[in-house]
Amino acid sequence: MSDIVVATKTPAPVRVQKTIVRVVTTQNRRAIIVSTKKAAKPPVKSSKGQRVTSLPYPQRITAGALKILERRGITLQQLRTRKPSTGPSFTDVMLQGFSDHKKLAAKNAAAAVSKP
Amino acid sequence: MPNNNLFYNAAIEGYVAGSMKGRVLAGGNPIAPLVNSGTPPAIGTTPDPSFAALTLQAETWAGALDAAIQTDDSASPQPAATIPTGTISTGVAIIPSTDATGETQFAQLAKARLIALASLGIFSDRTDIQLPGVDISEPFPVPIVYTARATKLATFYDEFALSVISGASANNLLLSFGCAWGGFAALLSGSPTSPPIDTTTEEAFAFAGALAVAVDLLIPFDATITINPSTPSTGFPLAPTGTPSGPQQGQLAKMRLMESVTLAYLENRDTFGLSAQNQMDLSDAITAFAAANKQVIVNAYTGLTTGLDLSTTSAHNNPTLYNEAYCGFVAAVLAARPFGYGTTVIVDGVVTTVPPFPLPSSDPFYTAIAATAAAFALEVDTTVGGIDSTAHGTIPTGSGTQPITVTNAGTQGAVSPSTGALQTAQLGKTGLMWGLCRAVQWGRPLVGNIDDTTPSTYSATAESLVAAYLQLCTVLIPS
Repeated sequence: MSDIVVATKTPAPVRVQKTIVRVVTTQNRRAIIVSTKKAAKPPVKSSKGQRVTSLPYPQRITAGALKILERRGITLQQLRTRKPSTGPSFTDVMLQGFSDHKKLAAKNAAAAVSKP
Repeated sequence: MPNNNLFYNAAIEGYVAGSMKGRVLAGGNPIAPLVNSGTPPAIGTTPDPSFAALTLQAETWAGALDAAIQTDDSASPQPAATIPTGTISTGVAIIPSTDATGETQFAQLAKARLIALASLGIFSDRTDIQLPGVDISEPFPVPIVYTARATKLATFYDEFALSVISGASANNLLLSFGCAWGGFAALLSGSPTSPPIDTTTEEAFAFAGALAVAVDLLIPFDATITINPSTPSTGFPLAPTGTPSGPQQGQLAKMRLMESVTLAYLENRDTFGLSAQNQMDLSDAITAFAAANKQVIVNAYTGLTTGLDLSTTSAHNNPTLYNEAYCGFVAAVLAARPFGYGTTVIVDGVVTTVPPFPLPSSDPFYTAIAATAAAFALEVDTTVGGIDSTAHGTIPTGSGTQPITVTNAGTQGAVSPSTGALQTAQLGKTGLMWGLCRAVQWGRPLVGNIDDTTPSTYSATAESLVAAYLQLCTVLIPS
C-alpha cells in the first residue's frame, strides 16, 4: 500500500484578516482603506496548545518524524505495509503451544528417568 | 433432525447467554419475577410470554447455525483433520465414555463450547426477541431469520476449531481451551456479527490463544480431569466413566470455571483495536499480553475452584447444575471489572503501598466471591425442585428429556454420558443453566454484605431463571 508518503514539513498557512478602516468617496470612485493583520489561530489545538490539522489522504509523514521512527526500529516500508501476514494466528499460537508442551514433557520425562 | 445435536444445543445456550445478558427477568405492574404457570420441576402449560418468545428465537438461531455446519463425523470432520464429535448420517453425539483416549470428550467439549461462546459473543447485548402485542392471545411475531449470521459464524467456527486435533498437547487441554474460548467470548462481546477471517481477526484472537497456552503451563496436570501423563503427556481428558462419573462432573465444572474467569477478565478488553491499528507484526505484543495476564487468570481460577461441588456423593439436587450456577455467578459478578491485582500489603500491621501484583488465590477477595456464588448456586439448585435422574424422573417433569444426575445411596453425582443422547442433554442443560445465571446476574454489584451470602436473597431471581430454564429445556435435543 502506498498511502503513506514522506513530505517535507510545510509552514502553517498564515491567514490574513482584512478590516475596513475607512471608506473615502470621491467624485466617481470610492476608495476603501483596509488594514491587514494576522488572523487568530484556529480554535482546534492539541493538548500542548499546538495547531492541529487533519492529514489529507494520502497520509503524510515528515522526514524528521520518519527518522525518529527509524530509531525505534520502524521503517517506512513497515508503515506502508499496514498488515503484514507475518503476525501469528490463533491456530499458529495453539499449534506452537502444543509443540512446545510436547518438548517440555519429553524433557521432564527424560530428567525423571535419569534421577537415581 | 439436526446435523449436529451437540452444536444445536450449544447454539441455544450461547444465544440465551448473550441476548439475556444483564436482564433481570422481571416485569409486570407491580414488578415481579417472570414465571410460568407451573411449579418446578414441572413446567406450566402457560409459559410467560417472554420465555416463549425467547425460546422461539433461540430455536431459530440454533436451526440456522446447525444448517450452516455439516455433520461433524469421522467421514468429514468439521473442519477437516479435526477430531469428530458426531455419528455419520445422524448427527448424534459419539459416545465419549468408551473412548479411553479422551479425544472424543475433548472434541465434544471444545467444539460445542466454541459454538456456544461465539454465539454468546455475537448476541451479547442484542435481543431480537419479539414479544407479542398487548393482547397476548395474538400469535407471536415471525422470528428473525439468521441465515446470513449463521453462515458467517460457521466460517468463524471452521477457522478456529482447527486446533481441536489428535496432536494437541497441554497440561490440561480442557482448561487450556476453556481459557481460549472464554477469551473469544470476551473479544466478540458486542460485535454486530462474527468478524471476517482476515489477518486482523487472526491476530486479535491470537491474544486469547497465547493466554491460553501460558495459563495452561502454570496449572499442573490435574488428575481429576486429565489422563495420567505418560511420555509424552498430552493433557487429554479422562473418559467420562463411572456411576456417578467423577471425571464428567469435574471436567464440566472446571472447564466452565476457567471460561468464566477468562471471559470476565477480558470482557471489554478488545484486542481487535490493537490488531487493526498496529501496523507491525504483533508477535511480541501477543507474548507480552499473555505473560502479563496469565497469573491473574490462574490465581482466580485456583481460588474459586474451592467453591465447586466436585463430590460425586453430593447433597445437592443436581451437582452439575449447582456448578453451572456457581460459575455463571462468577462470570457475572466479575464481568468487565479490573479484578485480580492488589496494591497494598500489610507487614507487621503496617499497610504499605506497592506496585500492582496479582492477588494470590487465597486472597479474601476470591474467598468472598466464592462464598457468594455458592449461596446463589444453592438457591438455584433448590429451586430446580428435584433430582434430574432416571430414578426420580427427568426435569422438566414429563418433558421426555434425558437425565443429568445419578443417585447413589441418597447422594448425587453426574451421570456418565454412556450414550450420545446423555452427553447431548448434559452439555445442553448445563450450558443453558450457566448462560441464564450469568445473564441475570451480569452487572450486579460486587459482594458487600451478609445478604450476598444468604441463599434466600436470590429466591426471586432463582425462581425466574429456573422457570426460563425449564421452558428452554423443552427445545434442547433430545427433548
